[in-house]
Amino acid sequence: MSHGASDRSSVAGQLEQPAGPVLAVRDLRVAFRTPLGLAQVVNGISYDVEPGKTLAIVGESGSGKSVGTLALLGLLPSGVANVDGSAVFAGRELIGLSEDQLRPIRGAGIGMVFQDPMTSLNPVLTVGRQIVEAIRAQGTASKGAARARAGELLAEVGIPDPASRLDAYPHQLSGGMRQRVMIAIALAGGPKVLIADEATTALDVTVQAQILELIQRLQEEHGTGVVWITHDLGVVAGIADHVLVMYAGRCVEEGNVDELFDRPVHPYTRGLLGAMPLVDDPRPARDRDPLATMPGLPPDPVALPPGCAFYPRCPVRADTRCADEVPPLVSVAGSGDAHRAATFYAPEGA
Amino acid sequence: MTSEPDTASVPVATEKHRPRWAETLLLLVRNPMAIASGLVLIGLLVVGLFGQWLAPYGHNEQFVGGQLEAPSGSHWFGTDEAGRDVFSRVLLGAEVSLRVGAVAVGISLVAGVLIGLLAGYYGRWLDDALMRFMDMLFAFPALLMAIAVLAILGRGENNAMIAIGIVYTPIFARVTRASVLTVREDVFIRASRSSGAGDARIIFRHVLPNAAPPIIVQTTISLAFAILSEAALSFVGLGTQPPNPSWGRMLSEGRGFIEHAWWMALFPGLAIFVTVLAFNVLGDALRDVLDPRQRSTLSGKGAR
Repeated sequence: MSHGASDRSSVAGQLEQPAGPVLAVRDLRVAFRTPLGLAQVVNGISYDVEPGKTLAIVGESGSGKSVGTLALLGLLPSGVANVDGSAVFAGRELIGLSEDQLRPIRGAGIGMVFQDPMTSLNPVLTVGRQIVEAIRAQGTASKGAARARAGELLAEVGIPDPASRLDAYPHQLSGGMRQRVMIAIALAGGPKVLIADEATTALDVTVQAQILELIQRLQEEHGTGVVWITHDLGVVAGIADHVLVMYAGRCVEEGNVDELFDRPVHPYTRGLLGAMPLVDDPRPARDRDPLATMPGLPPDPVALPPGCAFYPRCPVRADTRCADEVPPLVSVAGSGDAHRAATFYAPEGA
Repeated sequence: MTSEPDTASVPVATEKHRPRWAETLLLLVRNPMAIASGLVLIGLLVVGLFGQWLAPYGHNEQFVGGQLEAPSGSHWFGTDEAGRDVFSRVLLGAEVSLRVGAVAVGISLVAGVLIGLLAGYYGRWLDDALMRFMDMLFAFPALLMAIAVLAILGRGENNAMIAIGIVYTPIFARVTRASVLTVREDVFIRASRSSGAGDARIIFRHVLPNAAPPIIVQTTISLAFAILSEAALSFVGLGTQPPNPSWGRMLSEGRGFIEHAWWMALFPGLAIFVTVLAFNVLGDALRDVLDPRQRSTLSGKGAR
């Protein structure tokens, strides 16, 4: 599947075909009104989510990766956030829908799992009531049927002794268990797309691996399209089919996971991959290259630089246009359309 | 990364699934002050409900020739200027004080919590409109405000309840709004919206229960203030009307005889004092137990 502006016109025609993407985001923009001016947090992001596939959105804190997905479901405060662009889910435009029109899509169409399982469950309600509530939010299930379904969901996400866990309060469960409950809640409406916003970041590594396995298994069973938001490239390498790297609210590079990890083009992506320790490095510790760091901070969204947003931190600055022209997202030579980058830089090895 | 055992995921299957209110109650009974004030209030409630059967005499039963008698075996708290038994009137006055207090606080609780929820949850212009109106009410001294309301509605017990209810509404609105503002930003609110919950469900199932602790504390403390206000209004003759017994009324009647019959003012005054103190102590104890930061230290102390 190709991405970007070139196929924007044909998107609408493809939606009803079974092979098409379940969620197609085009040129999504989000700006917040702040006392200091308009903060442009997301500046034209486009991607497709295919059924049964995983799209990873990677970026550091403040790159707009969470805001961009919250905007799809209208979960940003309406008074301060301006959302623009297009997001077509199952043939329906989401941007501009009212709260009442979005509600049936939340949960039943697109489910979300949030970062911190310690705070994403209501502490005063039992786990069972919260799952039942998510099941009944959409419709017609009776209380008894919903409770039975809640037990099934807990079993499905791998919680032992699900019937008695329904009566547990969140503080009586471990972090991993709570995240499983959150996943059960997100799955309660049978969503076609699951958005996992840093869903394993707050968990220990072993629990993290279990949750990743769980999501992959559920994805295979239900054919759910997954959007995995993270800054952990190790996780991306493990689960993603397609990767989108964000910087200052723009997509700086995207491609299928092998292509992008093997031949990163954008200096930012190269920097990110260089900053990742290699666990299976065969050399003894003293012979290894020092872990790369990237000096500086992302730009202020209220005052983005006129050219490439990464220019102030860029170690390459390959072209005279870098400082005052935003590089377009174009196909990397020799990759077909599987790999695109927004940079004037063309590394020789890539 | 070391291969530390994952202590966080060890299941707590043995722990009983105890709801939060039960846990709160368990923590509360560990505090002797809370037990003492609780017992006083239970006693008061019994007197309020069954005073007519507990009182040795009727509230208007007069002993001709027995006026202004000092406390004795037959009249424990003495008699007043009309020869009525002060002990019986104090017992029967409990019902008036508790009823006026409960109804008045009930009015301000319902109105204030609704206003606070709407203002805190929806914010923006609704918040501004509602809270500025509350500020306006709040700007008047409480008692003056109640007197002004009674001047419009007319004197009497029922109107006193309404007046006190109106006066205390802004306090509940403020406490609720402040609490809602912190709860509103919690991730679980966003999470339940993302699974399709509507505003009404979010407000009453998710926001209100989590915003409740300060409101509960405010309720107990407001009961004390409402009883005081009723006494004050009756003292100036706007609340309970004679010949019905009311602690504030009895206090004001006893004032004229303070040099000859100290018991007429002392015992109703003591009743007000004990009741208000008990509500305040209970409110403090509840605050300790319901505050999540103090809660962990409290339960830690008890467990180890």
